[in-house]
Amino acid sequence: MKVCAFCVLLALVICSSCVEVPRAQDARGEKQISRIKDVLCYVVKPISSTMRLPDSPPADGEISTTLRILACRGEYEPASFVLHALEDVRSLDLKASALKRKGRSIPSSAVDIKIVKCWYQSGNAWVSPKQDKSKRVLVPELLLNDETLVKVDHHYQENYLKLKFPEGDKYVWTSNPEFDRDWEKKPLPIEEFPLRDSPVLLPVNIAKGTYQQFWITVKAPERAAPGIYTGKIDLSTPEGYLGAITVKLRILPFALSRPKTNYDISQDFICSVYTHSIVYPDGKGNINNAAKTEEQYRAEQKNLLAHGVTSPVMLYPVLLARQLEIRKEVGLGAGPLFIDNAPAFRFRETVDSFDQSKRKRIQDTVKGMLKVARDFGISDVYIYGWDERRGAQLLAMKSVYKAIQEAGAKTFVAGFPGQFEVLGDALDITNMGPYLGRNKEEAERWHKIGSKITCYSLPFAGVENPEIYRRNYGLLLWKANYDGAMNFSYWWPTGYIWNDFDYPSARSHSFVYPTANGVIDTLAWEGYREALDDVRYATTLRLAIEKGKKSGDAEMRKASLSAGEWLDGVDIQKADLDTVRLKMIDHILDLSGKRKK
Amino acid sequence: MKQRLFSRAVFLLLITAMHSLAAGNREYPCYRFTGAPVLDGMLDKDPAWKNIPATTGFLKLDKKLLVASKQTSLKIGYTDNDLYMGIRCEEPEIGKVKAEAKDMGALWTDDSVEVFICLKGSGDYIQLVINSIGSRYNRSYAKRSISLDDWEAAAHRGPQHYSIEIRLPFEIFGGSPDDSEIWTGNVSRNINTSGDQLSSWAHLEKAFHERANFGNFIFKGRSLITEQVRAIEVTLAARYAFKQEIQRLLKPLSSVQLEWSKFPRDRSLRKEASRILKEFRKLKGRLSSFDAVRPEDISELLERSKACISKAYDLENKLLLEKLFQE
Repeated sequence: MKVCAFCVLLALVICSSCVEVPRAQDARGEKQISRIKDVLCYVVKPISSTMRLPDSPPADGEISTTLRILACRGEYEPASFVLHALEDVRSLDLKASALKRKGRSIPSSAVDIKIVKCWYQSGNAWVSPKQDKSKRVLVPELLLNDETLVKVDHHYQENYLKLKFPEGDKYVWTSNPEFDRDWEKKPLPIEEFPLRDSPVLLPVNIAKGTYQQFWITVKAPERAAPGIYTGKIDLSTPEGYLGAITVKLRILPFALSRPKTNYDISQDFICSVYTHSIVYPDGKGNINNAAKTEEQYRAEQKNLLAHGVTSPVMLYPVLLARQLEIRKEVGLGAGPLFIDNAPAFRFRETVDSFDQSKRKRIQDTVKGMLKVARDFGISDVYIYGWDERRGAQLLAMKSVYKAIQEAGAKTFVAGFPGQFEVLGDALDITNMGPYLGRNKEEAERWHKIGSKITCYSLPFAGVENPEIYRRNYGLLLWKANYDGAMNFSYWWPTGYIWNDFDYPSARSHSFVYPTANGVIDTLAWEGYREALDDVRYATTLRLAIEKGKKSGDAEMRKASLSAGEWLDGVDIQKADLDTVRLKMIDHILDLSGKRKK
Repeated sequence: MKQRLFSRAVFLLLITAMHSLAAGNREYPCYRFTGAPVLDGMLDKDPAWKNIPATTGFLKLDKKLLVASKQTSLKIGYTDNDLYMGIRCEEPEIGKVKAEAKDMGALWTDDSVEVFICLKGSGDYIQLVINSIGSRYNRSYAKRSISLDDWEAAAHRGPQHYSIEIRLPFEIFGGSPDDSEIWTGNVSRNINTSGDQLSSWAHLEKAFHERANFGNFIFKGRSLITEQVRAIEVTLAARYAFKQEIQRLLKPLSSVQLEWSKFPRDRSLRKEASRILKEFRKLKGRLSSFDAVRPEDISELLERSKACISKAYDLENKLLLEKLFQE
């Protein structure tokens, strides 16, 4: 009897040590809610078409204080929550702890917390990159450490930026609706426009009754052991501790593949975006034009890589070798090199009676660039042609493209329908806008002649809604057998880049906003990263399916077929992309044999 | 405000048109051309076709009014002497389209369209078949004979479609129509690429020759201006567009039912799944008798479908997360 009672007791002890928190309570966060004072926490989808605004509760949010995140080693993965202030909350401080599992630890620095800042943008905000000066819209966009970097005047619907001068901070108005025709002559040197976000998250105020969204980016360490790690984000004010949000991170037990195309799993899916920063010999940098300091340039390259962009298009390099050196330093050296150097080629005058001397000039320029690239171990160099040409100009460019190819480089350019018929294989990559849709037939005819097809303007960068970019530049292109995403652009000012209201026809085509020492990320930019990550998961699944099909295990072959059918059949236009991601993970676990029985 | 007024006007038109659709055979209003089209198979750039409304929503051959996976649109216009038909066949796999038969060959085995029109004042009809390269076939199911010399057709291939233009002199049918006269007929389509193989504008059950199920072509006796065309197209297409949208929305739910039954151990999640599936079955029921749905209820049905699928995704997310965090 005593032995029996001891066994029961032992079993109870073992069971209780296995269960961290009762599941029902954990799922709803009821237990944790009671621990947070003065605020209510909603867990929300980070990449969503729903705007999280100060005056509206997140209808799609779940009242909970547990964030659950799945990531592969080396991956950046977002999560988000909205705090609803039940009382005025002053100087709220949020601090992430390390994430722990069975004696292993992921440092707190792997959990980045940002405030999602809402500000005013012009009438087409969240919807289109076109200008609409008839109204102003409050919209969430910026991911900030210092919430006060942008001051918003809700009464007049205007934005101000905080500049950090040695003599003190100063706010400048950035909502002038008048178009300054001389804006290109005023590049805003960083000495005159010292705009810098804080390097760490600063305390934030949340007024009673309002809602504030926060953005979490977890960087899963390259060497972390698979499993579920738990940590927390502590919330406190100068008056005391309010409570904590639990962070559960599952490091998945498989390696995330590099992105490959759907039609040929051996071909790289090109992860690109047009960039415009140039390092000049004088080393000076601006906010509103291409000239950047090395510090700015380095920060941008790091940021691009962290967002999955492994082959950004480089604009007009003056110091090509130096820029390649910086790219290599941050880990951006391996992929193909895309160069847009229109000033060096002078296409408009080149195509006018393209003779031997012009051919030689073009080819010498190409060879010069190739030599520099090869010094950095890059053999695959693409030269950008004359942008968005039609008719006679497009036809005239064919000889120029051929000359570039003969010199040893490849060609790429953005364009319209009709390019295929006119240029054919003189173009190695067509960067096609939305004009022909994203259909497999269009991709197929380029592939048949050995060329590739990527996509831009679907839409241009500049729309705040992150879901648009995740859907349109990831699995949608991948399933249409496209070779990659190459949107315009990382940042591109139309008028003053921090002013959405000035330029007559368009808003800035920018995923990020330049500062004196780097860039400010946006929701849309995070959406683009998730698009590229979706392609990596789809590639990983496709590889697992192909492997599974050849398995000697009949169950595995059956599971592979089932996963393949699901992947081929899922409607990316309409599907919930978070669900698609989870399904991909679920299938990969089934096929990888790494699922715990 | 303008937009709201326009929406209301369209909604009223929609209700009127849907009542007539639900009541009997499908109808299409034929309008006069202001100038005859050029017979080259190309519909998009020919100004003559701009003033003729298109009808779409081609259906699978069954009783359920399911919309075919590859759509076709139809325009019919006329002059004093001739009837013209413009047919646009959406075909994303245009490179795989079969076009082998010659004139009077077995064109129905190619990717092709079949036109059926009853003769004036008669139940007898003629059949015309045209493929994507303009090969033609005709046959008369009447005392009056027909030959390829009696009519013309031209075809055009675009990057994702092919289109066909047909000119039929009214003398084939025994005379031109009076104003408001109703003729019966149909246009069907044969597909050899992927998707539904047979589709039809009229509600057919099993075969293309179901004369009793042909639709009605109503000769209006007047021309339209371009601004009027869009409103008429909305009334012609709306019901089918709605149905297609609802079908597409609900499609993913068919595949998740089994999965849900496997792993929701949590009682509240199981309850949620049960609620969603109950609603799904109700919506599917309404969809299977879609013709009986009152026009004013269609928007609500669409909204319910959207809400249902959104809840389903949320639930599936929760279930998958539960599963992936239990391991």
